[in-house]
Amino acid sequence: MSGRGASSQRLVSVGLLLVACSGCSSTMRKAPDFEERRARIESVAVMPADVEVLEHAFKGSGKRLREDEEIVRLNLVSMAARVLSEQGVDARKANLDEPALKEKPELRFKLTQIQEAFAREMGEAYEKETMRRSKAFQSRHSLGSDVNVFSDRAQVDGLLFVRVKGVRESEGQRKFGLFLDTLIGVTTGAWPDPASGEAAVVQIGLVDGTTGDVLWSDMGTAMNFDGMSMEKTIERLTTGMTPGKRKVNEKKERNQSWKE
Amino acid sequence: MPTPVSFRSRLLVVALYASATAWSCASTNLAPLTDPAARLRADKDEVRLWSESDDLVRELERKGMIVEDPGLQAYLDGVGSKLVPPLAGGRLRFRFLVIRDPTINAFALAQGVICIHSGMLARLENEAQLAQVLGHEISHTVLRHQLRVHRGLENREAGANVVGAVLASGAAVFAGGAGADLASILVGATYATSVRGYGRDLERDADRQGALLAAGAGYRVEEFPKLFMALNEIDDPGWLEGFFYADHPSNKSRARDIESLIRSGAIPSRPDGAVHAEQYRQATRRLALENVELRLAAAHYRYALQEAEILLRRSPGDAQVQYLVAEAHRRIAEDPEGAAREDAMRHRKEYEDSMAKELGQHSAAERESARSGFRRALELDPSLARAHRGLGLLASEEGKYGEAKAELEIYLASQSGVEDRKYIEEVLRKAGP
Repeated sequence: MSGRGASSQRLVSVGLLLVACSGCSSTMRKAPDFEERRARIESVAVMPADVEVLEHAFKGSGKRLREDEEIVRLNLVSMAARVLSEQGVDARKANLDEPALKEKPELRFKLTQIQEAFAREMGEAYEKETMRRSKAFQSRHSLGSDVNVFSDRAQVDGLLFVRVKGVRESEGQRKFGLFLDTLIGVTTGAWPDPASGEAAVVQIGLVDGTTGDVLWSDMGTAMNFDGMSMEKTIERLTTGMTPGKRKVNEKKERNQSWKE
Repeated sequence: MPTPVSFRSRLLVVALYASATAWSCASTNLAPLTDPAARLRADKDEVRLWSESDDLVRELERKGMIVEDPGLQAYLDGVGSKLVPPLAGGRLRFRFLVIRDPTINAFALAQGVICIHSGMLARLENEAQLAQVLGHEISHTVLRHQLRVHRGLENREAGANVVGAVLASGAAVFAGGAGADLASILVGATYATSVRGYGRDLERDADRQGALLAAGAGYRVEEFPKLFMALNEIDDPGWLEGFFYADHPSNKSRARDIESLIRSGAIPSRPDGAVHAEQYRQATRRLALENVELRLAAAHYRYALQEAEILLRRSPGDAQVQYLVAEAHRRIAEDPEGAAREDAMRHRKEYEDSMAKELGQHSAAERESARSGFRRALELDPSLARAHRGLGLLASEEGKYGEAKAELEIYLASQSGVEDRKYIEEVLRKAGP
């Protein structure tokens, strides 16, 4: 075989290996008996989203952007319930918004605890973001019997948990970035790409409302916080979780930005 | 794709911006709230710090993390108000909050809110020790340590940000996924300055000032060194423990410092001062039990066991405490992976599956300890339904379905508002007819 032929063969082999590897690793996690147990989940309540949005600023990072958090929190639950409904699931909100929690400090704290338990289990499940499918689809994590309070309250078989961790650059940081890019461009002739300025990691998990077992979970990135980007991320992430096909209906009005 | 930038260009930009930011650093030399001569006018950043601190309190409220117990609150307010220096109290309104968090920590916010974790309250032995902890935290606010550290951080970050941005070669800050960036800035500035500690010198300063405040309020100062030894009673505090450990001098060293201050007369000795151990235990008993439950819910099984055992030594005839000791054993047996992860964190090791397997080999012994504990709890209080739950779940795990069914049915029948009925019924269903 000629040298050129051997080289091409090696390239093809490496390419095939890469394709094979990308096919056998996943960000999705499934319980070993997922299909069977999903079949028993006829109704799902979407739990209040656990949202954290931080500012990345020129003078110190880490300020919580609570207004942004509130907007995302308020919209995400309805959005996730709608996406699931369109996928043929009997989905509803868990009825744990502010008015429902008023005067119920114990329930409020139980919600915090169960969200923390979900975050802890996901932390363990995602010590490595991607994992070989053979291991990722044998995932065993549980929030325990504490979920009963919420599944009883919403009269459902399953609970959907959503976590969002977002970052947004401050105005000053964005201007500084632009200024720095310009300076670097003028100094070196090399012009960097502009930054998008915000991004979020979204994590979703379906939990058995009786045992607390995490049956399925996935995570991905949304490049900004507007309605369209978040909805697409949720649609993408829930593919494979629900048995039904997505019903295509009028989505135009929903694709408007939350801030409008 | 971003274009590569030469190292020399980066250096040039770093030099330009480092010099440009140097003059903008704010002062960290601040008058305390107790200085009668000082004209205290809050700068913008101090007002912002207060506002961020208010946000943090609202967040704690939103999450239901502030304990609402009128009796405990009145007790805490009574102790705290004796410690606040009058001049500081006239300048800021001090408030005392108990936070539902099982880690051993307390922290002070810039606007005068003093927060003490349930884990800390559960760990202390008497009111004199509580006064020392509250005095320490009040002193951070009186000495305006939050603003001092905040300004120090901002001054550093302003420079560091320039360097970081340039070294990033102008690439998009979030390119390639936000995960890595998120990890570095998850903690907000207010939280960082108030909770993570202030550095050893400021902590020693607050220890000394706190001891003076508590001594001035009539507490027995000889109890203060014992506080640090009590904090050491739980072995090997890893990162799970709050930052009352993390950024402070070691507890032994702090105890020695306070002892030498008492010997030298810098803190006036008060051998006949107030200790109020019994009042303290009565005021915090319920919270101490709840704290063990918080530990269990957070999968801190070993900590839960240690804390419950400490409570049991104090009250050997308490059925609730006996139940909690047994439940901690049961959870270790039920969830060896969780227990192994906790062990790994406490000993700062990386978790490996083999650790859970090794622990799993001791599950039978843990179950046996749990079983005898539940039985002892039922001897002390036959109406303790949760002990039947524990016995039933143990039997179910061991495949003794008849026994499981009998115990779990007692549990379900004895309480009308069983919160985990669904789960227990599922266990019964699996156990068969």
